[in-house]
Amino acid sequence: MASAESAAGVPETVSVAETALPEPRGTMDRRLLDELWRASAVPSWGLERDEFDRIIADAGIAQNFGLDAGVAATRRQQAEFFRGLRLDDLVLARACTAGIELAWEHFIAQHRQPLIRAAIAITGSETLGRDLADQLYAELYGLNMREGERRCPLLSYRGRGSLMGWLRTTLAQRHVDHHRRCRREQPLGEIDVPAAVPSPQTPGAELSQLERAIEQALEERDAEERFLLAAYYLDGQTLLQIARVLEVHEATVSRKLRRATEETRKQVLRNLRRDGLSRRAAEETLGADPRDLEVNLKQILQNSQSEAFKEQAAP
Amino acid sequence: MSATKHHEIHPGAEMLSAFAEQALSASERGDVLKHLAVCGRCREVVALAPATASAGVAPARHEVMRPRAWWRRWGLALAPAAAVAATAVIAVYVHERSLEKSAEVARLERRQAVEKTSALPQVPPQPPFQAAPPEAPRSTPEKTKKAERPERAGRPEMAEPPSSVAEPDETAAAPPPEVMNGLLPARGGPVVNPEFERRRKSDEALAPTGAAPGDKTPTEAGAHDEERKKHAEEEADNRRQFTAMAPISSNQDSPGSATPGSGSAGSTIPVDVSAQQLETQPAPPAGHLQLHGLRSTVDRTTGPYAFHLPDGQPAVSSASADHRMLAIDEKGTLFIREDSEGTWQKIKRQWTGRAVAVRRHASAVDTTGVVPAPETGENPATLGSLTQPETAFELVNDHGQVWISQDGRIWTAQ
Repeated sequence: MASAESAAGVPETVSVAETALPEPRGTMDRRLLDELWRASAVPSWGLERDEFDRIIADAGIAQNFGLDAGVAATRRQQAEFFRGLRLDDLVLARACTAGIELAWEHFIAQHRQPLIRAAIAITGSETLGRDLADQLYAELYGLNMREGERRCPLLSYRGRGSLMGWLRTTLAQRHVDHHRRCRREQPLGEIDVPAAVPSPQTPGAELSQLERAIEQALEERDAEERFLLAAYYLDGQTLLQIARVLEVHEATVSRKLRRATEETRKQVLRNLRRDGLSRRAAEETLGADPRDLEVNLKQILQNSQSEAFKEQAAP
Repeated sequence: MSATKHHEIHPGAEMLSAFAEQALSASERGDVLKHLAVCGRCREVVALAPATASAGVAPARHEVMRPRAWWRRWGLALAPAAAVAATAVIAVYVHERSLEKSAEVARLERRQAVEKTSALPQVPPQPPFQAAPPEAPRSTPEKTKKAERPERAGRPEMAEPPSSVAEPDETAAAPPPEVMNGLLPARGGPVVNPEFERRRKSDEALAPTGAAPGDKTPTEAGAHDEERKKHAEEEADNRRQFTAMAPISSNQDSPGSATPGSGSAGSTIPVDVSAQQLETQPAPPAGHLQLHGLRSTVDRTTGPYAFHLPDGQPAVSSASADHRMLAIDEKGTLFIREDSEGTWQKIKRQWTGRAVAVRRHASAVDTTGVVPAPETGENPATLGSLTQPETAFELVNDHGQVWISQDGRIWTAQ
């Protein structure tokens, strides 16, 4: 993970002083820097060439040019990495962090209204949305001070995605964190009731076998299938929402979900038989109805999610 | 689940937004997916962020996970290119259609022009003899009828004795009155005077090398020759039928065997077709000369084919050559006309007896008392005689004596 934020969901900010890096020209191709300098709109924000080179070096070295830690990037890999960056947004963010008024004017004209609209869409309320947007805007402007230094969240932006996407994600993070904090304060009647405890008719040994089999089956699924299962069965997201996140068609999501469900069920049966149960006994344990797997999966993920919230809630 | 350990650290907003914008590398995307599989909070974040992307985000530059096909990169350019291609195809199609249509219109116009030229009755200048006497009223409807059916203009009818209208071997004989008065050419073209047209055809038949070289193209001339040959064949068939219908056998066909009055109107004369070489002039009135020919069955003095000379007498025999036309009336007076105005001049008598026939003279023509009728136009001997360039006229008196003249004015006994 290239960048990280605290478990409480607050974006990790980096001071301007911390961005001072060793001389970048010794580690980067000067022709590449010249090319990036010509391609960017830096002169309009009043940044000097040295400042631009430092910004570029900061973005590249901090992410190790998109490579794994410890791997030295060649000049070609550096060029590929920088060509994939949003240099304009990155330089604009850095110019705003440096307090250049021209850059701020451009930022306000370019992103102020979209930021408010995104906040309103996320919160579902204009009042809450404007409050959320204003709070973030105030932080971006550097009103927060820490240890005598102005802290700006824009310093965490390194140009991997668009600046507007970063702003929306930041708004979503803050809204989700706020919602989760407030949800714990809601009355008990509105809290999701955990799934019913398995019927006492089922032997405890078989239940433990089933839980282990399901855990193993879920762990054997790849990350995308687990994300699909969790987003659909646990979060209750629609196929359209999942499709937007993955930028695929809804039918693709549906097909992958069905395949993941079937494979998980088969794997659970195999795990049960591997533990010594016969096929009939394994099916009886799992339940004749395949929908029983859904219920069990939801229960398990819900419990694990609850554990995660407990960990996140801990200071 | 061992997912709890992933919840300690969340990916930053930049990573999540880059994940939502497909801007991460494969390994980075896999890491984020692993976290999302166990982190409900980040799943909510990434679910909310794309849903609020109403401001519009430019497409991600990283295309590691989903390299787009090469043709997708040209998607924006393919649409106008396809439109241009479709326009070009449509333009070519329309152009081809317009060319075909114009060609078809031109073809139809040519066809209509040809039909109009062949169908329009071009009024020829009134020949002098076309001022038909009142006793020939049937000429007008026949002319109209033949003008409407020009392809049949030169064909003799079965009801009539075969005429030599279109025979190529017609030499000394003058064009029959029906041709001179009413015939139109078989194909389009200005025909000012049927008589002259007939004379021109006759001249062409006699002197194909230069009679009227500018009148017809070689193709038309060849077609005309074929048509005349065809007519000659038809006439030969008609003659055979006519001979078969005759009450007298062909063996009796001799100068002295002709029945008196055989040349009268409506009568038939048996003719030995095989013995006839050339078409002759119409026979004189019965009892004067035993001129046996097919045309003798036609009454030249009356009917639609008759024309009258300045003295009021009907012409009984005529011949034309080199823009001259000779005609003999019933009294035996010879008249000549050398211009197209139709001014007839009387020729002083230079022969004995009464002139009964005048015709063109050729070396192959049998100038004995019997005027041979043409067998067919394909007789080599006949054709050879017809090709002689010199023209002359023969005049026959009631005793069968023959006088020859080159210009139709000065006659010498043969």
